Amino acid sequence: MIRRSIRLIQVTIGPFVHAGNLWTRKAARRQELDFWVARDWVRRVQFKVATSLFLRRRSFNRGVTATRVVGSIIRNLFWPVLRAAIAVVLLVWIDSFVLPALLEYLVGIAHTFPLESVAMQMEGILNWIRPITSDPPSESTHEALLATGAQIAGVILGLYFAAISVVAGTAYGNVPPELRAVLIEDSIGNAYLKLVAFTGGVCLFGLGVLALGYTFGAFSTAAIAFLGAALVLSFVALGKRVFQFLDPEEVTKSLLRDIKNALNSVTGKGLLARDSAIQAYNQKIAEQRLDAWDEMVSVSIGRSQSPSALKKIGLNTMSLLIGYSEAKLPIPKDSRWFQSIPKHSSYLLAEGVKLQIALTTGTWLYQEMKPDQMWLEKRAVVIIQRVVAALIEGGSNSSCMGLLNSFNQWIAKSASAFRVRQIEVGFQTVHRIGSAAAKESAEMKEGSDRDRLYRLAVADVIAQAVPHAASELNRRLEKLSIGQMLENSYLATIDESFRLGEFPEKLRSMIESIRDNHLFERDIEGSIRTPSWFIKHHAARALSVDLRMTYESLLQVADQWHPAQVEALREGGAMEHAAQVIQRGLESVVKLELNAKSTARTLERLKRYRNTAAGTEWPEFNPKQWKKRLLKLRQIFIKELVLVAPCLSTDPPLEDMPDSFGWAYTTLCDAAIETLTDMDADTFGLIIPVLVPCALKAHQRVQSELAENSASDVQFFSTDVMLDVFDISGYAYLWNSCLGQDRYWHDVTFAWDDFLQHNIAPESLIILIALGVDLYQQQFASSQRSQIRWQWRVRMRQLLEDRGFVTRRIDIKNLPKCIPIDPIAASFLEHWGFHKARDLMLSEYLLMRPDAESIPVPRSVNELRERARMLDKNRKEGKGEGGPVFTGGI
Amino acid sequence: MAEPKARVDCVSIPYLLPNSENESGEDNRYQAWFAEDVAKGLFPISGTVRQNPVFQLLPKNEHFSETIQIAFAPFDWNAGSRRTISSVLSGFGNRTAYRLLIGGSATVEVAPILDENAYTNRFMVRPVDGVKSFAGLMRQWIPWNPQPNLAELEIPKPTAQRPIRIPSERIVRILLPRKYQRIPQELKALRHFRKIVPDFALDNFNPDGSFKVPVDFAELSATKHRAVASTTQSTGWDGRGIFRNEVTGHYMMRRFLRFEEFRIRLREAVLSAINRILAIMGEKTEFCGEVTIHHLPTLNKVEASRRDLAEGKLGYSKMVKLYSY
Repeated sequence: MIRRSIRLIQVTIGPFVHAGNLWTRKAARRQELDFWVARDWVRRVQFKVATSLFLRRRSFNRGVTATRVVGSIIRNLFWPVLRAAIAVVLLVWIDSFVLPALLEYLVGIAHTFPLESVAMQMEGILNWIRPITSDPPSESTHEALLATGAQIAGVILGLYFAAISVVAGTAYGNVPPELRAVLIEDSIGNAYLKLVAFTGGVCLFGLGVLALGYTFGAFSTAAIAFLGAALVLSFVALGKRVFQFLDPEEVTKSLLRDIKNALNSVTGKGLLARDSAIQAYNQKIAEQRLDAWDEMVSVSIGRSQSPSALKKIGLNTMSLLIGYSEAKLPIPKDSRWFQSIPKHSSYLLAEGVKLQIALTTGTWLYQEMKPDQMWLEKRAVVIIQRVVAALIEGGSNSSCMGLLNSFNQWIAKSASAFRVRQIEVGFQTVHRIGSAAAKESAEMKEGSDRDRLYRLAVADVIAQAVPHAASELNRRLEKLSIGQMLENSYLATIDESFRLGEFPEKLRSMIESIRDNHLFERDIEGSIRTPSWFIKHHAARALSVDLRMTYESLLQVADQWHPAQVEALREGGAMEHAAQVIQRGLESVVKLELNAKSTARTLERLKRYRNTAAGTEWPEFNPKQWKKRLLKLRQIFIKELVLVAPCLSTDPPLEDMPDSFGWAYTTLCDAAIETLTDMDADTFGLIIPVLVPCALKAHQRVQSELAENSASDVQFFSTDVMLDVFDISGYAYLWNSCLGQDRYWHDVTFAWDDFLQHNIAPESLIILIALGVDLYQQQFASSQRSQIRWQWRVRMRQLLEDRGFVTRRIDIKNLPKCIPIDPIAASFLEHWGFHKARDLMLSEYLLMRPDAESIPVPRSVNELRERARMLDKNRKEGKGEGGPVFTGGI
Repeated sequence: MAEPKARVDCVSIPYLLPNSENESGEDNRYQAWFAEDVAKGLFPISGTVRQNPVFQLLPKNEHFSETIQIAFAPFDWNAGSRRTISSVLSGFGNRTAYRLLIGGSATVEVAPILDENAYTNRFMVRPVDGVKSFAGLMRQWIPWNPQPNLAELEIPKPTAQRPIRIPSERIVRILLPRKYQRIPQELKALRHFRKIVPDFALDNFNPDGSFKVPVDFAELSATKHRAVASTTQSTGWDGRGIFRNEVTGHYMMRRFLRFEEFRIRLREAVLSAINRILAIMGEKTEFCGEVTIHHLPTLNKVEASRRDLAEGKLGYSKMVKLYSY
């Protein structure tokens, strides 16, 4: 017996008196089925308690909402009711005091009349009036008041439900249940309805009380009268709401409110916020509201609602997206608020426990439910995408622009906060919207100027998503205080209350992981043993990954999306749109180049926190690779521009639309200079055949633009635009003579030959060019474009200096290391300051043509030729330049 | 002519009780792994990375060296290859460490070998089970009715035992360093985790794949890992990496150094026991000397590494190089 008792005690309290420490006892307890059964039971109780608390809190919140609504009703109705009450009091006062006093006064006056007949007539009138004013209120009056109140309440209820039935039958008859639920759960309408019902009830009970023989006093009468008045007046507001039931803005506002409430329930630190069941419940609520939201969009599109209604839905969705992105930050990553998605594990890397279960039970490895941190954003962006697509399809481009601008701002904000997943989701949406817009642009070639303008603007807004995000990222990188962020990261790992919202994703994940590690250390060692330098090393590493991923995601988008978009637009014949996207693409390249530098700089700074004792691995980044990708991207855009530029309109630009042709011509000129400095003869060969005819188009356009100006102005500015191409051609000649790069000059001559052959009057064109250049140079004036050309000249000289063909400016006493054989090129280089590159082109190509024999040679060309002759003569006479003579290309 | 038969003159009963060493592999996975890991690196004379640590007998004495090899021959773990003083002592050290970590103490008897009627200068060191010491007196607990023919055989644990007094002159009792004496007892607490997944969890599935009783496997693993980590906290054992993903790399390195310290202290204890055995043998053979071991980490080195680690000057790869042998 004793032995059995001892055994029983051992079995019962065995795990609790288990030899070992706290953790072996805990682990041993978990090896018993009873523990899990008991824990399941405790959790069930906890759930019941939490549910009860939650329901009470929800009920309380609803009460608070109802009170607020009633308060709002009272506020709305107070003055009308007060006015009505004052009017009634005034009337009573007139009846009770003013009128009797007036009568008394009139009686007094009547008695003073000398004529008896008149006095008697007045007395008769007064006797007729007196009984009206002197009757006191009776029970029958109360009864009448209450009956009327009850009748009005009944009528109003009937009217309200009739109106609701009409709305439900017509508007909500064929809407999905999710949306109908919005009508049913309308809290404000319900509050109004309760007021009506309450008043009706009070009146009926009042009648009952009168029937039992009781009487009402003055206060009760006043209160019933007040309620009756409120009843009638509130119906105005209630009736109005009926018309708002399917108003997208009102519905989405209501849904937004519900989602915010659900979100607030899980962001706190209270008992209920931490309860996984409550989190899951709130997630379900939010998901249902998003379903209804989605249906609202479908209904709005299906019923051809006005664009403004769709825009309001879109703006409310943006409001949800922007607000949620910040509000969700305090939510722990394992919260059930985030929708759980089953994930399969790798058999080869699975834990022993999982493998054992799978092998024993003959099942797959059990799936782990992983939270999807982006579930709400994904839903919201789909809604935005649908709204924008519908707006574009409906031609409501102006409504679309505001929405897209907001969306771009959201992406840019995500980029500045290094939220890579948000950036990816955002750009995927922009990509889809862009494709829809491109399709629309290709299909809709006709339309008013306004339509065209807005379509262009929409394409522009879509295309500027990348540069916008890149700018924000750059701004953030400039302001980023690495030391402070890493210090905060360290503090966040040791202080659980530190908010993690400010940290980028990887860094945040690292901090959360280190927090878990610290917990382990505290459990085992009693304190944290990992030093700060170790944590800062890993924080710097995680931040480096965040920065690199953010930059590379932008680069990836620019790399993939823009070229595809341009190609689609070009193939669809939407050349203006294509030019716009190319412009944004090139802008992206410039901004991403800046970003690459600042990112690389920041990553280098982060590397200073690297400590090999904390781990050898460090995220690799390759700025040269980034630069190479950007260069390639730039070349793609330039090639696309080469294809697009000839098709662009050469009409003088309107001020409300961008000058696509002017931009394309200027950009191609600059790109040609770039190819000369980069020795990229292939791209140069693509650009120059387009640039030559474009130069003449530009010349003609300037003439038409300045038609109202003086002839000299027209001559000056129209020649000015062409000089870009002449200078580029001249530099190509120089490259041939000095650097042995004959492909440039070959391409130039081929392009000019082709152009002049297809021209009706090449001779007159050459005269125009030669005279124009001569006159231009004689004017000694400077234009905006000449400043740009000056920059080109500086770049070219720098390159020739580097190659030894020109001495450095501070070293003018020395001779150049190399001198070209060609006397024209040698003379040009020798007298660099006196000649422009265009002289080379005129001298060696244009004026050498057979059809240019009779054309007077411009003065500068003449001088260049004269110098070349002298040089050649000197050479033949053995009077060398003193330096080593160049005998071929480098 | 037949070689005269030699006989070992024992004072203890050579009765090998089925001790926990034999049971632990099945019963307590973590305890066995721990003992294995400690014993494996305690006298690593066959290391290839660095200069091999070797036992040296000081002063050198060929004759006594041979005596040592004969005495410790049963522990030679290089059986089949050439027997050296290092191979036999290393085998003894590793085996003793294993026994210490499983049972908390190890006792050996230094028994002289009799040749016909006379004592030779040869000895046999043999483990003795069931020895307990109280007030300077040593007693061996043996089965109530030991059968001599069952000696050296593993038999079911006897239910009744009786003590016999044994003279302490030939007995060497080895204990764990004071700081670690609770380790075997604590390790025994890990016997609850001998199965990867408890049976009830495997029988816990409904036909639809859901659980009858919700078992949190992540928590189950996490508490088990903490149990292993906390039990071996003072020794610094890494549990063969089972909790590697739950701690920082720095913490693992700290534990590594702590484990090295534990091994050094244990090594010193075993080495001291070997020298006590040699002293007993030396009394008879009139040799006074001791064995030493070189090229192994020292406490000073561990302390220096600790300082470097705290200051961020010691990385994992460098540390592995420092302590690999």
